Order: sequence, then structure tokens, then C-alpha cells
Amino acid sequence: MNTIIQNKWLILASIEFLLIILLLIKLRKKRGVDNLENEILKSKGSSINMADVMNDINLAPSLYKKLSRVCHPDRFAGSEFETIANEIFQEVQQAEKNYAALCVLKKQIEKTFNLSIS
Amino acid sequence: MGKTQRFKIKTFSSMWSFVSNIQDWFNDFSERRRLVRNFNLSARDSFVSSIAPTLLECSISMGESAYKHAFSKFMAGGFRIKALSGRPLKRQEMVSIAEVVLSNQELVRKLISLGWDTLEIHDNAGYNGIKYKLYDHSGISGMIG
Repeated sequence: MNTIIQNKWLILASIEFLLIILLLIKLRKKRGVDNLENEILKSKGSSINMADVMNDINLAPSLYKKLSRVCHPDRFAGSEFETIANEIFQEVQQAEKNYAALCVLKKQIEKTFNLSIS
Repeated sequence: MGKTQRFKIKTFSSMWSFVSNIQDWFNDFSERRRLVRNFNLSARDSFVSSIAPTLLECSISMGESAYKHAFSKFMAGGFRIKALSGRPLKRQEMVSIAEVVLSNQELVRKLISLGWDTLEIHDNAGYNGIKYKLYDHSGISGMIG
């Protein structure tokens, strides 16, 4: 009789334990969603310059082509500029769709390699 | 505090939240209109100053129901960009326009927060277009869907 009662309490305790774990998981998930919602709602007030977006659509591709051709690491293979060319080329690739960043890189390339890019 | 007084406070707070919800809805609506107007004005300016070869026009559409998330606006979740090209655009041309929008994380997050869930690109001559789920490009890890 005693063992049956003990088992009953053990089963009840384990069910309770499982319930607590489930509730904790649910609470954690809810907190994650709340943080996510806050993160997204924060960007509601941000202002976006559409002229920059237009430049990214229309001007960035041609400038990217020019810059990637000018500072391609193969052009500087074996020279003192090889490592710098590698770094700049990677930055150019990262800024492929960002016209403003590409303009900054253009100036840097002109200064570093003593070139003029039209 | 009496029962009646508590009931009054509860009613007032629920009414207040209802009013603020309506105010938020109107604010969102005006913000969406402003964003679309700014996009169209900038597109027109760059077309007139011959920076852009094609005129882009943006509008609000129904969107894709499969791309909905927690902030989606009912029947108005699509951010549609139409290229007035006069000829059917190639897929690569449409993809390049979409990639610029999707690579701008700030813009994508703003679109999501204002209730858009789908980015649609198409031309004015052909029958093809492309659709993207905005949430996949917001750079946020987690689920809000």
C-alpha cells in the first residue's frame, strides 16, 4: 500500500516538474518575441533617404564594376600593393549595393594607388 | 477602493487603449503613405535628371498571404515597385532592383514595422514579376510570424 502511495506522489511530482519546465520554456519564448517586436518597432521612427536608395539602384552597379576592375588583386600580383589591393577589393565587394560607401572607397583607391577614376 | 470605482478605472483604461490603438493605426497609415510618396518623388527626380534609365513607381498591394507576419497589415502587405520600362524586364534586372532594397536592412525593417510583408517587382509590359518575403531579409533571428 505504502509503495503505491509513494509511486502516486512520485508521478504527481514528476508531472508538476514537467509542467514547470514547459511554462519556463513558454515564458522564454515569449520574452524573445517581445524583444523582437521592440527591435522592429524601434525602426518605425527611423528616417530613410530615398535619394540614396535611388543612387544605390542606378549608380552603384556601374561604380562597383569600375572599382572592382581597378583594384582587382590580380593586377597587383607580386607588387607592394598586393595586400592592400586584396583588402580594398574585399571592402568593395561588401559595399556592392551601397553607392555612398563605394564613393568613399573610390577616393581611398585614388589616393592609395595614385589613380584617377572617371 | 470600491468595486464600482475599480470597474470605472478598468473601463477608462480599456477605452484609452482603444483610442490609442486607433491613433496608432492612423499614424502608421500616414507614415506608409509618406514613405511611398518619398520613394516615388526620388524615383521621378532621378529619372528627370537622367540618373535612372527607367522610371520606378511604388504602390501598396495586397501582398502574399504566405509571407504574413505579426505586424502585417490586412490586405495591404505588398510593397510593389513597378518599372515603367516599356519592355519586358529580364529576370536579372528585376533581381538587381530587389537586391538593392533587400540589402538595405534599415529600409527592410522599416517596411516590416509599417506592416509590409512582401516585396514585389515587376515591369509595365511583361507578365512576369518576382516576390520576396521581407522578413527573411531583415537580419533578425527569431520568429514573429
